[in-house]
Amino acid sequence: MRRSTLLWSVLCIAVVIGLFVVKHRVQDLEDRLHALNAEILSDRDATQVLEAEWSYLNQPARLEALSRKLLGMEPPTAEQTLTLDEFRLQTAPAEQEGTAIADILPMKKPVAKAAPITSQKIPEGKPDTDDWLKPILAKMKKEQ
Amino acid sequence: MTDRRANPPEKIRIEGDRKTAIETGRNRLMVAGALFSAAFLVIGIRVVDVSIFSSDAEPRYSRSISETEKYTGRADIVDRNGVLMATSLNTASLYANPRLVLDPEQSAIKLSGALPDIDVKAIERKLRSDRGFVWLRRHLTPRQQYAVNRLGIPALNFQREARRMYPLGPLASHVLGFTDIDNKGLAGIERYFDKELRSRQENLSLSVDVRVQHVLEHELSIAMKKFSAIGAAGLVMDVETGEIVGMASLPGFDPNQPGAIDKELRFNRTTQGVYEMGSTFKIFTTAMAFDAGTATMRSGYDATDPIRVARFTIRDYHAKKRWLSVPEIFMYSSNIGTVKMALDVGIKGHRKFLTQLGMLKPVRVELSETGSPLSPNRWREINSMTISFGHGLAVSPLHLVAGVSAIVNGGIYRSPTLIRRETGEMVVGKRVISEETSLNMRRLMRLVVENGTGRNASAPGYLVGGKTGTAEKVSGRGYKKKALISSFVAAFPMHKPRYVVLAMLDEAKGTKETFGYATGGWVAAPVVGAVVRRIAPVLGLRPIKDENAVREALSVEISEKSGRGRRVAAH
Repeated sequence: MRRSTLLWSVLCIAVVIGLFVVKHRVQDLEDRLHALNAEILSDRDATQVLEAEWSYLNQPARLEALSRKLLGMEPPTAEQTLTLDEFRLQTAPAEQEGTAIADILPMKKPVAKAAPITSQKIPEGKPDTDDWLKPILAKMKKEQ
Repeated sequence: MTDRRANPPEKIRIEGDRKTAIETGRNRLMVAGALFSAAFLVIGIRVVDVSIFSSDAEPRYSRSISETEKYTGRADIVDRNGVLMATSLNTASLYANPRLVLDPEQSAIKLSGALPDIDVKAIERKLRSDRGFVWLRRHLTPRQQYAVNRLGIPALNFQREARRMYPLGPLASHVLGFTDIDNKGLAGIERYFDKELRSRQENLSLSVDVRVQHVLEHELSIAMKKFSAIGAAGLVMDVETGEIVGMASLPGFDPNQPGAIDKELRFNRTTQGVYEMGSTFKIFTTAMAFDAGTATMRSGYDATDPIRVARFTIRDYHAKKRWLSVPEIFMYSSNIGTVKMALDVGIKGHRKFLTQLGMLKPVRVELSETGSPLSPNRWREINSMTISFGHGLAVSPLHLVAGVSAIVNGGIYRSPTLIRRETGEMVVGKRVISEETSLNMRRLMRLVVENGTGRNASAPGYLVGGKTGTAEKVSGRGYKKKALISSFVAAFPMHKPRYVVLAMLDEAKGTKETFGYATGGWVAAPVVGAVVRRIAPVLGLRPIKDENAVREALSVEISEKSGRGRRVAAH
């Protein structure tokens, strides 16, 4: 008789404590959710502001003025535009003759200027520079 | 001590007065106990009620914000590449409940400490009013909001409000338009799509490319300044889809300051303004004559003497005073020859052709600012004659560009749009001229840039072809000699046109470099050349390396009256 009373009262107390703890945790979680919601809202506001700022800083007029002033850039002429294939054709004879790139550097300036790009952009076969970009692009697409 | 323990406790019996006293004490205790347990019972029930069944009574924040939920109230507008052109930002606006203000004068003075540029007297008057709500200041910066909060005036409050922002400033201002302080669209796309922008969540993609737009506005503004013009208009249109990639009307305005925009600045020259376009209309006349079969690349007309009709005399600006072949008529922009070409087709045919090109109705585009063309009520021979070289019919620059697109793209008219089309989407249009006529027109337009009045528009590698136009502006009943509308409409690359470009200057004045001329070939053609050189790489068009072969293919054989041909425009 006494034992069962003890058992029941212990159980009772345990359940009460349990209920209290669970209830408290739910409340905590709800508070957190509320805080997170508020944070999401303010983050969204901030993103919006940043996007507007990004667009503002990327005003074509501003970019043009900056690249003219700081980088000395000008609109490209037709002769300055080259496809990769045309570029290969131009550099191919020099490579076939077996001359090192360093030899032709001072003589053919345009080739020399573009030379570093060859080593980066034309490894054998297809360049795998795109691989690391793929997940990012996929993500961007999804977000859109 | 031991004694007491050993003895069992004695039963005590209390009687008499003492007994009754204890009885009453006990009864009272019972009553108090019952009351307490009843109270505890009530509290217990309430606790169960509150903790288990209370979900209806008290709202809980167990809802998370959905992915797309936005609180800005108006969708963003982006360009064809996703560059943000118009967005809504949340700001705080200050309002007050004047009934709760204790000391209006003091409050107003305090407020002026936080917001230095306000009018203290006006604020005080507002705070004294007998209303429950007055706006004190809309759209505060976070810093101002903080300063106002620090004053601790109880009657002041903030309202979260969205404010429309245009991060690109005055760029493409006539396309976008602007909104008032309550975010209601008042002009441009903002007005045309007002309802839709309010209700939709996703961005609205325009067909405009901000880079092209910038180049167009930049080059036009340079020319405007150089030739002291009062205004300028420019358009870039995709001939395959009808998308408007650039639309510029200068002078522009800053949509971020809607208060400072007066009616004249809001005027969109590309769609609202209707002008007599001048010689650019010869494109339509010549195409019509080719398509009707009344003229060919080898035929020609006598342009020796001016034409006299009623009280008018139609002369040539660059008079040659001899028989001219059709390519020469187009190249030298001969009015006499063009009039004769139009007369051969006939008044009915002329009118029908221009109707097909949409020249007689307001152009259909996603702007509410569109102007109706001014066309003659009764179409007589004299009307047909003047319209053949671009006088007596006033259309908007967008009409002209849409029409020229149809002429060069193989002969299919598509109505222009400012909304981005999906890639690969085929746009239906209606055929207005045959493909052969279109090819011949392209060759003629190329000829104008190779050898004719439009040489200033050439852009090496991109094969520009076009037509100049210069018209005197109408003032009252006559024409103003000195007020010109100078324009140049072009397409490129001419062997397979992708874009049509128009530049138009309003009341340009000649300078020393142009030998005093303010005609389309001198003031507008260089703008088109510069624009094409700069936008072609941006639009992904590669320059043609071996230009001469293509130029040869497009060259025109100019026949002389004797029948012998001479080939020009080869190189």
